[in-house]
Amino acid sequence: MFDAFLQGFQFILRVDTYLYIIAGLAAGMFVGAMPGLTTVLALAVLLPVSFKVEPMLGIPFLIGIAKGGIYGGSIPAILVGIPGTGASIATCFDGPSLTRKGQARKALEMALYASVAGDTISDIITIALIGFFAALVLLIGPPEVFAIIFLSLVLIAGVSGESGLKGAIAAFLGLGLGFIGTDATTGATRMTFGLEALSGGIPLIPLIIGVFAVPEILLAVESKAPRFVSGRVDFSRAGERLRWHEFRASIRTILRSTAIGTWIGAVPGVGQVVAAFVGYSAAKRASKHPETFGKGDLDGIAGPEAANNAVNGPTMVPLLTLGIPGDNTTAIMLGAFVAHGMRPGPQIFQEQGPLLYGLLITMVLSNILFLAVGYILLKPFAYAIQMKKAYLIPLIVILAFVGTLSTGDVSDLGIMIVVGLAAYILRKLEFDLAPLVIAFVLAEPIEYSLSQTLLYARGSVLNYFFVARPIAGAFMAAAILWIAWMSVRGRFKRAPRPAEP
Amino acid sequence: MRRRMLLLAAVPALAAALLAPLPAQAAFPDRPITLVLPVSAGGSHDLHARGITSIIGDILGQPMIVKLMPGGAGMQGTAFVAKASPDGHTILFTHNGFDLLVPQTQKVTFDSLKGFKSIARVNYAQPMFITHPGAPFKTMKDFVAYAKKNPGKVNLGHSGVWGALYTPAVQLIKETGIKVNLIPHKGGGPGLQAILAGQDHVGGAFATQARAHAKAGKLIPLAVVGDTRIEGDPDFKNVPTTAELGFKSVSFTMERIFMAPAGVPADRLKVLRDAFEKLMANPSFKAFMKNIGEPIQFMKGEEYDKLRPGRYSEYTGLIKEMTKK
Repeated sequence: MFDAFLQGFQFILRVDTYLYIIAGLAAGMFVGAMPGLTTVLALAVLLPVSFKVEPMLGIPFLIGIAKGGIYGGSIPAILVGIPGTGASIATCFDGPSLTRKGQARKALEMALYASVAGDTISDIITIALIGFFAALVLLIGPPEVFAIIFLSLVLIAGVSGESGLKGAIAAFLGLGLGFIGTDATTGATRMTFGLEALSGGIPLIPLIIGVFAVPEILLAVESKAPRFVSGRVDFSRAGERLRWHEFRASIRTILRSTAIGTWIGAVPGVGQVVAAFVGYSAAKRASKHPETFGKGDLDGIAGPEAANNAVNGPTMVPLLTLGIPGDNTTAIMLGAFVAHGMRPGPQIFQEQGPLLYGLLITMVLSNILFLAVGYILLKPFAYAIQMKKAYLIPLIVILAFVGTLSTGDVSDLGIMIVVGLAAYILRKLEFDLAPLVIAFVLAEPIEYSLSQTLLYARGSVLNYFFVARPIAGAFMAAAILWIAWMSVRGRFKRAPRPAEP
Repeated sequence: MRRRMLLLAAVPALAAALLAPLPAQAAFPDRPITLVLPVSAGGSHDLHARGITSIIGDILGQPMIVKLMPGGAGMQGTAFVAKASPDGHTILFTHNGFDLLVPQTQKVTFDSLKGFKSIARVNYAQPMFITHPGAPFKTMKDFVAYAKKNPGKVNLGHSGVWGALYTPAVQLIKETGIKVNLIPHKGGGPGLQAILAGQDHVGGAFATQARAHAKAGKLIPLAVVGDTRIEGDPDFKNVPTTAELGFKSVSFTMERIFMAPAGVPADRLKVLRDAFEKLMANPSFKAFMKNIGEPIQFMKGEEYDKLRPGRYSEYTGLIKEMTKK
């Protein structure tokens, strides 16, 4: 195995591979930055490019798109509070506040450095522990997926909102919206109110644009300020750069989030959105100044951005070792392999070991290019946000509509507008809509894994969780202990410090 | 500053210009053809479609663009094509389950039989029943016998209700009267994973996905669905068919078919049918199919249209049988 690893280095000294990566990264960042255009769509459209060139060019190209796309999604999240992809929803908590303070460039740089660091470290861990991750995949079934999502929800809960009750209402709304459509386990249509447009469920893109973009647009029109950035900022430059001491202060957060993202990436079916939320929650909990979170804290950028990119490395493992893609991104990459007659699976490391290690090493090295391409691209965006709203808002409106229509279904436009107006009203009533979105995203996997688990358990649920599936049992126990600790800790804290102002 | 603004404003304008339909002309196709897939990215249909659309554009003289419309168990994309303007510029790449079976299990806004005409069948895939080495049986007969002795104990995984692996499973249940614990998975990949992890006793898979694992000894093929063994397949030629084993009604194979709305004028339908026939002889297409490990089993649209009413009523009977309490 180590031999194959060393032989892998022969594949990485090719200039054309890096040109393809650069093209992929730039394309990914552009698509990611457009709300409505998803990385998966870009991968699917550009997949045939990989049919025409050899795997050592085509697969790094696709990897570039995937890596760049996640970072690209954070650009509009930071600048105007509209996540470009689902992975950057958590970046919306602190991004726009930083932009208002004139720190857009700092935030974009923090997102870039955190993304690159998260990606690089998780790639290296993946290569070092590929055998371990491969074995782990087969230990993770529906009960473990359910338990891990449940624990993630418990960790996320209560972090974002000020009011627990309003947060809970928003979360239940999100769950309800998530259940609309076709029941994935039985195929029955439900909660569609007889509307055909809803029979396939509410798609994520119109929902995200509705929840985030429409209220931002309406609120921006309402406010009298001429720009998104407050007036006291020097507009001649692209804004202040991130200082070393600011980055150093976030290193702990980046490492913590990288660990979280790497673990979540090793579990098929959980994904970047959850990783980003858990990364943000953990950063806030560990912070010495949690009160600044949500009001423009650079740690609030580093937390989710390192976590969502760290998912990338381990998601490649089930694809490479079993030939089973864990998500849409890797499912499309599978196409790039099989179109060349290579089917990843148990034997691929014996048959194609050097090439695979070459690809994995390229994944690590491509992060250097990621840094460079991202650095060049973030400046124009940092400039653009300083434009007057009179120019920017029409642009955002157009992007919101074009993005929604990119799914090809006109009824999505109706969904976006209805959701958007409702979101605007809820925002006015000081509801935090993050719990709504996270609940919406998780409604389907949590329901699906739970119903699978119940089928496996055949009626004896407790026994199944804690005896038959000890890993799932451990996660459930951790979640329950955490809930207990959080409720008890509150009492401990309140008692000894009554004098605090 | 100003130049940059103009540039930024130009992007959506350009996008709008590209999206706007061009005026209709006599020649067909006179603009890109949209190929709707009622499935999500990354599956075998998506892969077929990516290969086909990268080649067929040269035959048609216009590009063919894939549009993925998953959701509603395939019915959203299907309904979209059924309602699309029947000018031949919107066509569907689906399979017989979405075409004729699923529409009978839920309320849909189109007529499956009268609403579509076939353009071509590219190939079909025979599902296999598979198990893992730790299971208490090694053959199909033993599995059925074991399931009869232990009702409800066997976990039988599939890729989704009325999907390509669920339908043969319920055909088997209906024919043998066994009681099993049917476990849904989100597609064939997670289903295969549950077999490899030993969580499901029996599952389904197609040859392309099962091959590497069968070679490594991690899964055991029990039976191939249908009445012919997988033609010319060195790894699975010894796997018996369900027909050989006496399960005559276990016959659901997944046929990959291209469909057009029934209202497409005959001359345009002919252009599309001819293009697909030409595609089958195209060397790059043949090479692509060989690489992805899928056969070419072409059937003309006219011939496939003749098969559809029979399939439709066969599925009606199966659904009635399986949903009665």
